[in-house]
Amino acid sequence: MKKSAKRVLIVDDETHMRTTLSDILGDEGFEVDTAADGLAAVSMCAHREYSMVLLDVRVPGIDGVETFRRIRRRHPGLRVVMMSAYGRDDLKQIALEEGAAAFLSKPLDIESVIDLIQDVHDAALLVVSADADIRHSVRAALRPQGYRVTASSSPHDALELAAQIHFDIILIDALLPEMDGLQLYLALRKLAPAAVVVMLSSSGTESERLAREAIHNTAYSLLYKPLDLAQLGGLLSRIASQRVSHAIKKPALN
Amino acid sequence: MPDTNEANQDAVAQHHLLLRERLVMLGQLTATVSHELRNPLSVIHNAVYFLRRRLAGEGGLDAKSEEYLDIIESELAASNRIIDDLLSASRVQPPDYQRVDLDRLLRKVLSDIALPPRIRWHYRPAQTPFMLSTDPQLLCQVLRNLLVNAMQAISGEGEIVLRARAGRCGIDLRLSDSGEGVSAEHSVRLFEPLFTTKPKGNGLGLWIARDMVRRLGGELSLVRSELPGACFCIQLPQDGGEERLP
Repeated sequence: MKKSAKRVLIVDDETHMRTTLSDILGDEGFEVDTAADGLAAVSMCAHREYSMVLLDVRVPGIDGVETFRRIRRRHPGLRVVMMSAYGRDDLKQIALEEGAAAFLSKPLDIESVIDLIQDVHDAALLVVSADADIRHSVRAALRPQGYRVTASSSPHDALELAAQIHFDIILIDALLPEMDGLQLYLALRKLAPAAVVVMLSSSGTESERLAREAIHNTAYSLLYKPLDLAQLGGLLSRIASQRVSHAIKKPALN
Repeated sequence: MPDTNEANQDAVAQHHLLLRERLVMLGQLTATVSHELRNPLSVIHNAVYFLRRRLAGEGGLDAKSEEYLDIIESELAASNRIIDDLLSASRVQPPDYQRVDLDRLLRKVLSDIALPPRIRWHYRPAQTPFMLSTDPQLLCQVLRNLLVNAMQAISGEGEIVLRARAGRCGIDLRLSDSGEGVSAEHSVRLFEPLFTTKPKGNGLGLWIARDMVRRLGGELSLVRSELPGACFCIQLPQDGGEERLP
């Protein structure tokens, strides 16, 4: 029985890498094609529609990053996951900044690869805001994408939740009752030091100053209210690709 | 005779230059070979994954086959660790500094290493939570090297104690074991490359570990132990790479 008709292209110059990956993904119910070099990959993408390309960084001919660029130029929406035998590849940040869905080290964690193909976000997210519209819209937008969303209107509840549940991502509205967003951020950081924190605030307000203070610390970024869900989605995919690649890096703030 | 002296100094300088060149070459060679090995190991890893899934689907694996797949996987993990070590030793890039929760990192290292049941281990965390700016991958490798050493130093039953404490300008981590300890004669040469007292040791572990700790702005030394065996102390600055954080 096929789980999904998603089609994946594997690009690697090692025959046995192509064989094993395509057998594994085939058993998982995906349609799989393979290519041994960058030019072949580019041409295959032109002729067939893929859900994802799994691309080794060091392929012969045009290298992986150039292959990635050419594929993305023609198919901007196509998700490309880079893989490399070089744990700390210099190309990692370049590829992620240019929009690679992930940059994985070999040996590959196959389960992550499968999640990436399914485009499942296996992440727990906490949103803390006194504004019911924000809580509801975040929940409605992210649940269908696989995020496990918990919402809280009070900072004290949020702290209690974070003490019990592991959250990967936390959205904090800087304007809160009882304590301000910066205080909450600092308290949450102690409970969940590894969580990626995104601050929300209105532009030009005291709460923006607090949010920026949090980012000056270790918070990840800032989104302005009214919350633009498309922008949130973009930021979260950026975080997702960095998380799975173990390369969290803050975007530059204006 | 000044002339001979000068000639001697020239010869020594020449010798050092040659040695340096050879070390650089050796580093490049090590990095290349290590990377070349990663690909075949990754293929074996894939093959084991495939076999496990296939065989589990066909009425389940018998216990012996399962054990053998586990053996292949654990030996693969060991090989990958050796590669990580070699790559770290030959790496010239600066450390990748991140904000790290020390307690979390130490617990992860201890749980990953799977100490055998004959060894009891105790972890005494710092009294207050400790965030430091360091390269988590490098630090984990240092701790892994030291833990493996401690484990090998203990024949039969024994114990290992890992203690974290806030130091004067950062953190002190002390890892003590109840093993044979280090003789005064050996302690002088302990951190030299290729120096080993183990029949199957390669004499790189401690040398690499000290090099890594130093690159993180700290120091690794052998100190007096609370247990009968050896005790290694890692001192790390809290803000090792603060200026490099984004």
